[in-house]
Amino acid sequence: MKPKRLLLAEDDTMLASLLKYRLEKDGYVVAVKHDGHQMKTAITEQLPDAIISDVMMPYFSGIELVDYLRNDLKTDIPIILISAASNEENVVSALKLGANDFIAKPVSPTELLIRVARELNRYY
Amino acid sequence: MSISKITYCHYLLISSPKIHADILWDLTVLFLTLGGLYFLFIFFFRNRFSSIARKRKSKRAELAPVISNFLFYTPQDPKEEQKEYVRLKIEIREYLGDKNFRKILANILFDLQRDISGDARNRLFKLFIELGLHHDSFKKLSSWRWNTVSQGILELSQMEVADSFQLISKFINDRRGVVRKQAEIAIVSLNDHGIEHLLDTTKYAISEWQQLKLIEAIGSINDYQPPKFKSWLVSHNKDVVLFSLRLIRHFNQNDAAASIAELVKHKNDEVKIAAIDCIQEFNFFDSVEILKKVFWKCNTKVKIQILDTVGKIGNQGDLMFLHEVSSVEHNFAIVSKANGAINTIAPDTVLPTRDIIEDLNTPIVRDKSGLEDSDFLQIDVDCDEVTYTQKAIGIEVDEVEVYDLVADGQSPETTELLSDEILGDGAETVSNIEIEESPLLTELEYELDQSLNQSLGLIDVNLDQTGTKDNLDELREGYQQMSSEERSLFLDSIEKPGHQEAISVLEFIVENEEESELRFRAFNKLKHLDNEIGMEEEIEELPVVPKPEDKLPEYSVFYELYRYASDLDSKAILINEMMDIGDEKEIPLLRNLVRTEQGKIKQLAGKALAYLTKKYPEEVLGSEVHETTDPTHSETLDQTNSSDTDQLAEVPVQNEPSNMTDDDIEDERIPLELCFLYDELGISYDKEDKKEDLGLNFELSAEFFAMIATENQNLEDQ
Repeated sequence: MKPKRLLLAEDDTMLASLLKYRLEKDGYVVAVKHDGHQMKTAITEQLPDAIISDVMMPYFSGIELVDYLRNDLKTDIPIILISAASNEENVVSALKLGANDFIAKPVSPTELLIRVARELNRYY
Repeated sequence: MSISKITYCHYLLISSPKIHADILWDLTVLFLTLGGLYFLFIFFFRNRFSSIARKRKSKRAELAPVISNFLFYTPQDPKEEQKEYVRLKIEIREYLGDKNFRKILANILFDLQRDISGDARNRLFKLFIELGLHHDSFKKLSSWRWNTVSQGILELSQMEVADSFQLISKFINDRRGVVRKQAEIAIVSLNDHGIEHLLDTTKYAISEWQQLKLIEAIGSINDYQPPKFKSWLVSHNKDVVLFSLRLIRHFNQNDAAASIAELVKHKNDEVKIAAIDCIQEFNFFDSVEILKKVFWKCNTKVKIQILDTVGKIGNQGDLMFLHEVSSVEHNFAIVSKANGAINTIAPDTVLPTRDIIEDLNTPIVRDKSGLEDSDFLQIDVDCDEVTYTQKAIGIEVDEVEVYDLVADGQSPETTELLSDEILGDGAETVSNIEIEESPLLTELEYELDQSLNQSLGLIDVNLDQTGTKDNLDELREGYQQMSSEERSLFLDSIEKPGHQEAISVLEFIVENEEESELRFRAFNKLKHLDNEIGMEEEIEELPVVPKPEDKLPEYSVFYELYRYASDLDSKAILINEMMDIGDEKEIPLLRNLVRTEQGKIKQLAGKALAYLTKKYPEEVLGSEVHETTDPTHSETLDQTNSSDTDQLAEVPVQNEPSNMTDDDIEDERIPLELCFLYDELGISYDKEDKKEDLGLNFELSAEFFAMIATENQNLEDQ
């Protein structure tokens, strides 16, 4: 079975590296992008199977990403957002725009794995 | 050119400094060198810092997978991964000797612990200790710099190094505030019993913000079992007591009722208020009595808090206390809170009285027995019906018809008839009364109705002296059988239904009442009534100057205006106007103001009085006597100043027949129709018979008809 390709957008390099390691350990192919421009370029080049993105990102926020994917690219690939617990308003906006799920920081890598697996199973 | 030469010659003092050109060049070179060095210096250090940052970044990126490997390693991993794990551990131990490496590694772990949770986080803490990074934090604790110590405490508490508890606890009473606060939070978060240790040992104040942070730190402990915080309510540190009260509220520990109630007596207001908040939150009903006792010794803020609590957890039994507060206290906020509390316990008990616009077209019943002092009965008189409501006990009497009631001009027959109609048919009157209280109160109500009717002039008090005495005896017996609440209500109802009766009842209460509070209130009322009687007796003893019958009584137009002047400015303006356009009629009013008012108003009134006295010297003696014999104005003004009394307060009292008011003068005048008849028929009007002619009976007498008949006869004969 072909491993699922995930796009992880997180500006914190340490957290991104940690989550990448954990996801790769579970068999996913993970591409990490540290800002909105890189992420948008990566999406345009090749659409991943699922996207894990921080809400607060430089140049291109998580909400803009959801809007871009749902309204411009007209794709319904799973999007899981990572956000601070205090950022509830943005999360609600993102979910309204079509984000599939969200995880509050601090992130539990185990929890993230379960949510990613669930969304992928639901979609594919 | 010639001009400049001349100028140069004339001003020799202005000359260029004699500096050698070589020195100038040297200085130029020096400053250029310094500038170059400065830029080089900046460039060098900028590059150096950038280089270090890049190195750190690359090191972090290099170490990130290593740390991830350490964090997510499990013994079940494939052999290659296990080998990799062992290799990395050995490799990293070699680097741990480097201080900078340790610093970078510690920083990575500090950053990560903020972003991850769950099992990975716990592994991170273990890794921090396994790598021996906590030793660096320990070293920081011994630094002389407060910021380094604080940083060390923070690192140890964030990485949950339990062994650091003892070391950090030394800083709980550190004189440096930042270190102390950091230590407090660390102590609480490192150990489940840290809060107990902190409360036991801290000597310094714990700020409100710090308390909240400590509670937050406690909240982050998993499966925390809070101790019984009532143990620290006896602490000598008031901040510990306050924090304990806050913790008691936070953890809903409602088993400390007795201790909390005792803290209401604490000398510190903050502790008092915190204790009262607890009482309110936990509904400690038994503590209300203590609150009531403490109330009178507290300041305004605490009093308001107590009233708020009594209003929320009090019951009907506390109404008496609230009524007393409402009547005794002068502070607006306290009185408002007391009234609010009364209305919370018994809704709509206290109704708005201030700035209520009355129906000015409503005729006013004249009263002779001082009914205007009573806030017990509120009477609305319409043209042909009287409605009166007893507020305190909750009795309502409506639609008692009084036919052509004219208080002052009625004949004895009419009075008797009305008395029979209203009071003689007691069954009919009582049938309209909705009684919500006990039957005993019904009797009391009947007594008070009689007092009202006496006040209205519907019953002649002198006709039934023995009956009144019997009623008083019954009243006393009934009083003894009442409950505390009923006795309080009854005491409220005794305002001034008749001086002698009220005094008798009040004396009885003062002598026989067991409750000190009621006894005290009765005593105050008795004292008040005694004073009033004393004043009236003094007034009666003074010589009365008879006034000419054809002269209107002196009445100041400013009197009514002043009555409704609500603020000091309005009053001051009115007094100034009195001085400008007033005459001798204003002198009694001004005298009264000088006696009753205070401060600026008193001064202004005195000034105006002096001015008018000087202006009308011949009126001074007469007005002095008139003023003393006419207590109308003084009494009514006193009421205006003293309270928000009832509508009847605006009815002036007439104690002496010689003190004629406008209405009396009006009554003495002949109706216009009768004047025409007298003129037409040539009948002379006899003032002696005017009272018979006026009043209620406008029918023409038999003599009149006889005279008409005689005249008609004469005309026919002619």
